[in-house]
Amino acid sequence: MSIIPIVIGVTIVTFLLAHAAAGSIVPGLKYSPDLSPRDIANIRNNLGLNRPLPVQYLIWLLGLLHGSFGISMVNGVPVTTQIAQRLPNTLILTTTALVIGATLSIPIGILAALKRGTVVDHGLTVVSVLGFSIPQFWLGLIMIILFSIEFRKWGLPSLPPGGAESPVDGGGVLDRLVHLVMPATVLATFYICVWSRFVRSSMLEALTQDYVNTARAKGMKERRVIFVHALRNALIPVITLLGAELPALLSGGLVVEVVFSWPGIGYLAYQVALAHDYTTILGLTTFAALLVVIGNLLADVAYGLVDPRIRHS
Amino acid sequence: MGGIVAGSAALGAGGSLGLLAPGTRAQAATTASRKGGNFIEASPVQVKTVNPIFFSGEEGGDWLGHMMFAGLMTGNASGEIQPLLAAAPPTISEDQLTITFKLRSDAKWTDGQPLTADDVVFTYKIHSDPAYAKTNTGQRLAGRFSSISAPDPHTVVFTLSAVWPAFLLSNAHYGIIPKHVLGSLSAEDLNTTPFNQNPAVTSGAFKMGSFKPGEQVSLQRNPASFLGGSILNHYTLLQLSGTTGIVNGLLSGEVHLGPLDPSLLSSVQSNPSLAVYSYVSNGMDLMYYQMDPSQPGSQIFADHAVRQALLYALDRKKMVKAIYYNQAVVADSQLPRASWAYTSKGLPHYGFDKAKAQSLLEGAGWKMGSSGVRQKNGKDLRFEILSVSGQAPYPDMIASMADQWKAVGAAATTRLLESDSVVDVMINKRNFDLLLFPLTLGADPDLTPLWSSKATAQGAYNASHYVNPQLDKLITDAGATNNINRRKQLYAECQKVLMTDLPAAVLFYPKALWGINKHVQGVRGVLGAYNKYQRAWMRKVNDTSGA
Repeated sequence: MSIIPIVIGVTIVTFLLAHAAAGSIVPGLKYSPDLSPRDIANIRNNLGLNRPLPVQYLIWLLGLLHGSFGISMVNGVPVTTQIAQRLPNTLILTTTALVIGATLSIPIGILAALKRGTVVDHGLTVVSVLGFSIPQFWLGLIMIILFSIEFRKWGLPSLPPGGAESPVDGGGVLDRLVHLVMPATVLATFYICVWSRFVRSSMLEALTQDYVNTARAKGMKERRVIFVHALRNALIPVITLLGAELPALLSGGLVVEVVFSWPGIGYLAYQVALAHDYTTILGLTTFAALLVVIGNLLADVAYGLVDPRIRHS
Repeated sequence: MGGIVAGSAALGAGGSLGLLAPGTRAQAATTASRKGGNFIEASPVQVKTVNPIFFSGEEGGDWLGHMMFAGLMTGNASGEIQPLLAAAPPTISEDQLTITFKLRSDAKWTDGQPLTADDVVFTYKIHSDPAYAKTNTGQRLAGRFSSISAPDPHTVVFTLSAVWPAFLLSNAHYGIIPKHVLGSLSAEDLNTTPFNQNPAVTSGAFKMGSFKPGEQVSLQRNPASFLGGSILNHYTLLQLSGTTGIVNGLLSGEVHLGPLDPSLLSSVQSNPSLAVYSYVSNGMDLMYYQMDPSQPGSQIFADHAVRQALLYALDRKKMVKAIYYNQAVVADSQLPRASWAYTSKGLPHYGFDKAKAQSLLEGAGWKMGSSGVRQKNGKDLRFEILSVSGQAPYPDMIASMADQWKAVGAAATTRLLESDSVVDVMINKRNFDLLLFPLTLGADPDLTPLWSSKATAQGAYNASHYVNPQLDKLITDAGATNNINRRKQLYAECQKVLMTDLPAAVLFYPKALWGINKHVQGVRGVLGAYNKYQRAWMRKVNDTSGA
């Protein structure tokens, strides 16, 4: 039941911030002396921008209660249509990054925990810290320079610098995969480096628990002790982390989407913010707020699945 | 600017509308059988719509609309107009109020329906008839016509409410949209029709391919077009995030044409398969002085000597090198260098002269204080200059200006706001001391929205609050005749008044910069200040790479 006031609260704050950001303008229209004050007033009137702010918000909210996120003030396309058009691209990107992140961070974290205090552990620590310190936009640009521009100059096979598919005859599976490589790698890098640290800490704690000592004392093979008993418990906080990260992946992907011109929700958010497309800004924020809430809910459910104590309680 | 008299003696001896001779009208291309590959252009701006009635002044969507929907006339790089859908230059009545177009009889839509005068009337009514006030086009032509009629399927008659030279120069190129497809829609429905992103019916050298929001818009050759279709098989406009993305696209070979930032020139210049194409644009970096007596800034800038002094204090040649990377020209008038009405002859000249700046300030009573800031009547010569954030080179420009003014005893602080906020201050709030903003003017140099006394009202562009009855008369007279020579003369006088009084200083004429792949033909020498959006010329562009 707390979902509704949370989402409403987010939309109110977003609405006020969006309108505070600029004054009397026409969303998406470049001003020029050709456009008369009467034209500007007319279009703003058509868009309902001359109504008092509370009225504008309530009209939008009423639409939301009827299942509509509003219509873009810039291109007249329903916000839900725009989300539906862009969401698959974001899901492809973030799911790929999530899978890469989870697949690599878990074994890296386990290795670091098992080799605690050794050269391997220290080396992985340095790499992890570097990885999550490097700004994503910088990493993305460096990869573009290297793999798109310099590789081409050197006569090597090169990767496309941006977009989700080639402009001519693009859209095939291989074409889309090739376009996915760099943005997914950049997005996954941060999560590999951060999550591996969590897995390491969590594994270290699990390996010191009594049940692990008991399992060893019973003569259980070390592999089984680590991967069946310790890892399962070590993953509990990681699952919570994943659940909380899900909405952050969709919004955190914004930087990566902009750098690579990846036509997803993040890039859409960036474009509509610049265009002061109030309805789309509100619609996207509401969508993101719902994702946060659902993400946390899923994390709670997953937590219960993994930890029988939670489930039984 | 050359041209011929378009029919009517009322234009006066030697007068012209800037029309090219009939023999130079847009010829039907005979290249339909010649395939010219795929052309990929990049833009940093999201394409919102390709329906030409929604001209937004933004990159991308506007010119896509012109590539798919022919207008009555089309302009070249210098702003000279030539018939496109019109069979010939229009005839103009003696009183210059009735303009008659004869349309080509072979023009048709991609669904086979003929493109007739009814389509033209429908399109222009959307821009002028109050019945379409709820269409978010901006009714730029409201009140301009006493009637628009189609006496026969190939004749359109515009009867103007008053002599209006800007009609042909700046408003006869609007892409015509199909009445048989859109005519039944209400004004509001026109804002949301799917036609805006996916027009099923077009008339130009291109037709719609696909619209992938936020990603790309692709057009295909329209071989059935009365223009003969394009040489290119496909044209794609990629939407990339910013000029860095565009440069990366050019360098990787994925993009054939894209706008450049001056700071990124060297990356493109060092690539052997790319060229930089530039021309002086129709833009001006305009610095408004606050002259409204109700604003505090006017206490400083109401004084003509101070306005002049601050301009003399700027070494603009050095700024062109350092800030514009030599990709701008020092402005010497009040109209864009690219405009046919531009002149610098006989105008006051404000070259860098620090000594003169100091002398003017001294003479105006601003004496150097002990802190290095001039003072007058106990008040410091201290003010703020506002400009646009995140848009090169304006942050660097005002920082440099503040520094140079410091050397003559003026303490300037800088403030940067996002573009729309600056526009809001400029046309509405007007609470600034100095405001620097890049403006572009269309092919018709009508100064009414910029410098008439009426334009001091909210929403218009006389942000300095400059009122000059003499200038008002010159502007009115220049807008009341189609005689180009007479208009040139009147605009020359306008520029003299403005350069003398200096309510605003035009600092630079920026160059438009494009990165272009060398195997592209038909862009360099064709694309210019006044036809960036009027892209009928794109049908002759050729990609010789064989890709």
